[in-house]
Amino acid sequence: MRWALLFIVTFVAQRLLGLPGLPAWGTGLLLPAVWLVAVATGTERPSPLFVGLGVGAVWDIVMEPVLGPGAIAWSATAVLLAWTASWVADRSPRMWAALGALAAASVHLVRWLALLPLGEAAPVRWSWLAVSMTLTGLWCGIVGWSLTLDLTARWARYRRQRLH
Amino acid sequence: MLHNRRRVVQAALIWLLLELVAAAQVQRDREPLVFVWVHTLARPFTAAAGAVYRCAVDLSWGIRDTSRLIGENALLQRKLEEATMRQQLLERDVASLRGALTIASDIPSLARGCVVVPCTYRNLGTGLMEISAGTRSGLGRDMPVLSATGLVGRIVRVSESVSWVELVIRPGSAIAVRTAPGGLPGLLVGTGSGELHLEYVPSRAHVLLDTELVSSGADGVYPPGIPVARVSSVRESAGPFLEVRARAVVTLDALDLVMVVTSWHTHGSAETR
Repeated sequence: MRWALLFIVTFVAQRLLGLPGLPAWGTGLLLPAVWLVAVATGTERPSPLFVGLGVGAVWDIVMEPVLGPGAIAWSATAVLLAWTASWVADRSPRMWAALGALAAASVHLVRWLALLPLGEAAPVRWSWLAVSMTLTGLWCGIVGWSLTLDLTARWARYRRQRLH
Repeated sequence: MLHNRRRVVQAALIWLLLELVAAAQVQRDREPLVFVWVHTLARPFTAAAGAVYRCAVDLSWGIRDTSRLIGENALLQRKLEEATMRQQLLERDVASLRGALTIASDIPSLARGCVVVPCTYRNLGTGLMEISAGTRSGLGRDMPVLSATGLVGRIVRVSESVSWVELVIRPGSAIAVRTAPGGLPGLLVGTGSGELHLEYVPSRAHVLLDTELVSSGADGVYPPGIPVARVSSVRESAGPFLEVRARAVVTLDALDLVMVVTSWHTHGSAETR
């Protein structure tokens, strides 16, 4: 339930990043990428393909006019991340950041490829891709770093100290 | 982790399905893009099927046309052969006519009045020939009949449209002749075979082989000067006359056109028969 709530919050936040008046670069930050990185680096291994399909389907419903390219992009990205993570033993925040940047690049490029046959693909702006990779990488790196802090255990200890 | 082929295929199929779903939502030319894709993919096959169909139709038409052309070609070949044969016959007829006209022009007695008539039947055994002209064409009994090379005979029976000619070879036929050089007279009698007998040639007469015998006109039937026969053998006999054999100059079995002399006059006279 908690994960589902966080999942929904992720997309709501992603939607909010595109609100008028907010900085344009905000939409370059792909918040759901963190779920793919988490699946790729986690010990529990649900099928990355279906996780990616789920993320992408919701992404398409919430953020895209056409259902399909997003699901392809996100599921392909999930598979790519899982494959990459299987070759790298590092699970540090830096690795999270790197995988986040890779996820951003993969999502944008695969989505462009998926839109290409539909005649809807816009030329890739490499500066925008770089911004998106940077922001998403930072976002994933922050999440990875926060996980290393083990905030849940710290919070539990803090509560116990308060009770005593 | 997609380490096995099944998962790769599974992912590819899912992505393909998603792409198709997306294409179904995009409109192109007032129809979903996926239909455009289907049409585009199907077009080569439909074009190929159409080409095969047209090829088959063209082939069938070609086969039909070829068979028709073969038939027409065979028909044309037959017509050509027929035309060639007709041309040969016509050339022969023209040659015959030219020869007959040459004879007619060479013989002054044939002033005018010649009719060219085709032969329709001849029986060399009986020595008779049927020609397809009669009284309607101005023919009459005892009119001489010529060919390009010489005398054929005379008309012995005539109707409105058909006449019968007694050939020179017919037994009993007699023609007053003379030798071309020298003017030795005689009577040429048909025997029924290819040979003619020259009668009443005195034994003292000098007759050479291959001497041409021409009509003398003494019988009043045939104009003078028409080649009739050539001497083929001369033999003395116990009687007062020589036994002279001759062969007709006309090849009777190959005649298909003859010229009937409807009017002629004796040399130096304007009287006609």
